[in-house]
Amino acid sequence: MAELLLDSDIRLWVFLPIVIITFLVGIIRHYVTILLSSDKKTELEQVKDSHALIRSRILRENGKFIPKHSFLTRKSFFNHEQNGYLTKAKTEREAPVKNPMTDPSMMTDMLKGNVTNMLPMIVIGGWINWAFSGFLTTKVPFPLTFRFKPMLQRGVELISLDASWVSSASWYFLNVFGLRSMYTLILGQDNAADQTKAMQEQFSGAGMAGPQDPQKAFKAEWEALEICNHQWALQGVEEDVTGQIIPPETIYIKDKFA
Amino acid sequence: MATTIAVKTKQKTKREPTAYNEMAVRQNNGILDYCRTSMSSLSGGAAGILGLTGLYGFAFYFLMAFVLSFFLLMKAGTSWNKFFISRNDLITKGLFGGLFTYVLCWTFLYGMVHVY
Repeated sequence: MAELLLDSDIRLWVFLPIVIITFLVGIIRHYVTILLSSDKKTELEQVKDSHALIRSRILRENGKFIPKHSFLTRKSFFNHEQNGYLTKAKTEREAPVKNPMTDPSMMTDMLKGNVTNMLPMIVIGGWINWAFSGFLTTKVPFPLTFRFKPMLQRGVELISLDASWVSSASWYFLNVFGLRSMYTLILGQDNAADQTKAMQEQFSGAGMAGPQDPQKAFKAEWEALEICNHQWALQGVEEDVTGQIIPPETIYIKDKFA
Repeated sequence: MATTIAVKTKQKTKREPTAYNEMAVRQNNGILDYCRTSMSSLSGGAAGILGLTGLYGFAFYFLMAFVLSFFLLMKAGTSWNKFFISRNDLITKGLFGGLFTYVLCWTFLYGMVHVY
């Protein structure tokens, strides 16, 4: 296959603008999300629940550093058979079934999520498709198999074309997904420009589920704590710290010539 | 004359339990990610400008990635276990995640310089 010669105006007016547009849209989305985000109102009950769960988890993880008595005291506070905190909570607490449609604040949150995530995706994607369609923009510097053609050459259906040429629409999508780590570099770790994560949440429904069912969480935590035993991690720490000889009950005296 | 020998019977605990601060570990991993991404994009740009193609480009990526790993290991020195749970994290973490960034930068600059 002979080398294609592309007009260098394509570089200036198609190839480069797509990169810049994708990049700047990501940055704008980050700041728009920050602007639109509202502080979530938390209820006292929810805070209490989540903190109890966190305390129980910490006890499970770091319980080995406190004496056995203290560990058992705490465990009994959570898991006592009649009036342990978790024991009561997992049986008595009613799961508040919230309908997202009736809660107006949740509705606006969802709407904002859609506005900042889906809308730019559709609008900018459509605009790019409309304005820059049908160009071959670049060539990936490594050979690819025939299967990559529909992925990399969207909008250019030429059978005899080598698979490593990239069309403009596909170049846009490559940028959308590839610039994610660049946003992490520029905007910091927890940036809002990362739309793919939000999209995944939306599709799997995990974004809405949240802490809706405290009863289930309590039950899981209760079970986990129930099977958790105390394992004292600081055995012999006194000798380690003081660097002295071990206390006498562990020494026996052997008298050779007695 | 009597000789008295004290015999130590108690055994030390085998392995020291170490407590890690979860936030600090996450922070360190974030910094590792940061290094990887920077290195990927920079080496991608270099590969694109140099006009590497095919396997040479990928070899270049892995070469640069291991150079970065080497630098990280040097930086961490002997006290790496103060900051990371596993030493392999320093070498392999984000190796394939960075590849995508690398390919994008590589393709971008290769296109800018060599295709037209």
